[in-house]
Amino acid sequence: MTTTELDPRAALPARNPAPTGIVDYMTTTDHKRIGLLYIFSGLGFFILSGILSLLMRAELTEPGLQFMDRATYNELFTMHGTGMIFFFAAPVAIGLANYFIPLQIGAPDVAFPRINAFSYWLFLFGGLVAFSGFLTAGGAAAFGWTGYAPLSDGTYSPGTGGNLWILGLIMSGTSGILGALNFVATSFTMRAPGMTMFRLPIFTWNILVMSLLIMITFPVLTSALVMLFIDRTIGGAFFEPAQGGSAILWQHLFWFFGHPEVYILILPFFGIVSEIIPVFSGKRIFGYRGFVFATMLIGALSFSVWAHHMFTTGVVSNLFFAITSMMIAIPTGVKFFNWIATMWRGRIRFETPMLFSIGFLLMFLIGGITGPFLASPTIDYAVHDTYYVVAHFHYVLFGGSVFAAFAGFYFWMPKMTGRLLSERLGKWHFWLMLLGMNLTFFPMHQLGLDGMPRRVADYPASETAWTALNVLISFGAAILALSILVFAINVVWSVFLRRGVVAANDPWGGYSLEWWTTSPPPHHNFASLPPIRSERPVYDFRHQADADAPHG
Amino acid sequence: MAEELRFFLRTGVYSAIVGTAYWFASYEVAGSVLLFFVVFAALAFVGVAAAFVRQARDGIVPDGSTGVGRVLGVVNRLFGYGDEPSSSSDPLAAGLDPVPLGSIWPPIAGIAALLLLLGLLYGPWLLLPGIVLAAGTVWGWVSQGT
Repeated sequence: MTTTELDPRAALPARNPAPTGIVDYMTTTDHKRIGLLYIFSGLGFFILSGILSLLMRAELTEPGLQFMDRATYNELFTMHGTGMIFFFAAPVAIGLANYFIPLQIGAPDVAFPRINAFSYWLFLFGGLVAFSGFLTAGGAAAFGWTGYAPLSDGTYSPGTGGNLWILGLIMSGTSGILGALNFVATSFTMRAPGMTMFRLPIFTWNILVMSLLIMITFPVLTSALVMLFIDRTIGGAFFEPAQGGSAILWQHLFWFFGHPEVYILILPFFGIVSEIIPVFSGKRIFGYRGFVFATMLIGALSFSVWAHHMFTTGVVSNLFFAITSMMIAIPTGVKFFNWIATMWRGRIRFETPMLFSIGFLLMFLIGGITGPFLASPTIDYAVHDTYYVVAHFHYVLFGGSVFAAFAGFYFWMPKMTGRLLSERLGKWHFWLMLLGMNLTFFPMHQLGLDGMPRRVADYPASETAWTALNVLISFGAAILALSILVFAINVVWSVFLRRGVVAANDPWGGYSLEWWTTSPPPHHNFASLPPIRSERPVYDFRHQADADAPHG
Repeated sequence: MAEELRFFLRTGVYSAIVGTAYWFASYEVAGSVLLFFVVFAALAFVGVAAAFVRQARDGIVPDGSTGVGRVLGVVNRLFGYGDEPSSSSDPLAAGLDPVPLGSIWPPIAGIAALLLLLGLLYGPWLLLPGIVLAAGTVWGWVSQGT
């Protein structure tokens, strides 16, 4: 067997005649195009939500109200959280999964291509509906991304913005459920012969567990949102204590979704760095099965920790949730051990995807370490609703998800677009982002320990230490914004202006099947596949071909 | 197919254990119901797949044994982590699978859903066109070939 015989371009069927341009993208059912639509829409919401955070930082740089009133500030932090969590992080992960799961398992598309396209349009319209609240007279939703009742009911938060937020999230949640069903069906039924479950790439495994979490928790959120909508619009009383409802019920329903949501947002990105680290270390992933079972255990444990967000309500079993929350450190530690062991004595190449992966390890570690502190009820009582919590989840979700997302973009952009992103700009992007992130979020730990509450537009001028830290944080946020600008310039220069180096089929020496096909892949993905005997069939084939080559 | 079933079975068994522990630790209704909903959902998937998908059933019931050995074999396969046999053949030897055509119906279905939901908020002037569009979408979607 030779590489020539398995040329992925050989004997490809001609592409069906189809519309081109924007109509092509609107009517596409091709998983790759839908993946790109998700990714670029998600990045659009990332920029929008990021601008909201910059406005908040501008306001908080000094004590007093300079640029906006308190109500506007409430809208900004609500839509910042909503945008980043529901319309950036998850959709980008789903976009990458859309693009790469069929490629990684050797399939021509996902199991239900038209439902896949429908999912995308639901997500996009959902995001637009939620953000359209800014265009209404009463403004956007202003009760926080957690939508706590009774603050979110019609009495305390009247206006259309809140209703649009609910409807947008219902659409987005439904989109997520359909997408998850698609990923599970695709992974279970469309694997190429030889691609057994324990040969699936780690990224695909992580998406599978993420999909399970979505299938179980998103219906709970959607149900809760419908109940809240009924309360707000037709006089329901699900969450109205005065009428026999329960505000705590909202917290149970929301966090039963909300904590697994954290893992929905991080597991795909664990998967991305698990693809990158072995390739750039020149080694096999350490402990493949341990990795898979650690992922499953994280997913399972995530169902049983929801009320650690409710310690201070006094109506949940703090002991139970403290124990289960701390247990999550065990499988997460297994993953860290495996990542480090994979790099250990490897031939590490410090190209941009690997830099972002290492940045992910370091930043997520800080977020991970502060997690068990917050899982301790005694500490949680002291820092609940302070900037300490904001620091923790930004180290998890920005240091974790965002760093890994950019690692994935630099790693897979050549496959998606046929062009490598500029290494020089990539390294500028990385170092600026690392600096900006730590200047922004690290001082928040101290700010929280000093007692500054989150979700406030103003603070006393007498708290001079708070002012100094807030100036530093705002300066860091500006550097973060600059780093994103560098990335945007890189994408425009390398991809849209086509100035980037043309990507070969396998520019990094990758392991999984997406590196077998062309960059970008043809409509049909593959005309041939190598034999699949392990979780890294392309590596196996490459080395088999080396062994078969004539020597001397 | 066995690993696919085990994926859901592990979820169901774990949630049953945690749900039971949670109930006796807290006697709190909402969380207990949610955890047992997970048990039901996961085991429902396993049950339906095992009942109706022959490949799934074959994956968990060992051949050639009877009685206790068969039962133990089922338990072993359900809770083990064995993989399917290896294959070294050309994965695409059977030929290429069909790739679907593009379709206008998914974005139209999205617009129909948008009108229906906004209609709940703004009234019949959006709801009625949404219903008509949704009905048309169902017809168009189903009648379009693959």
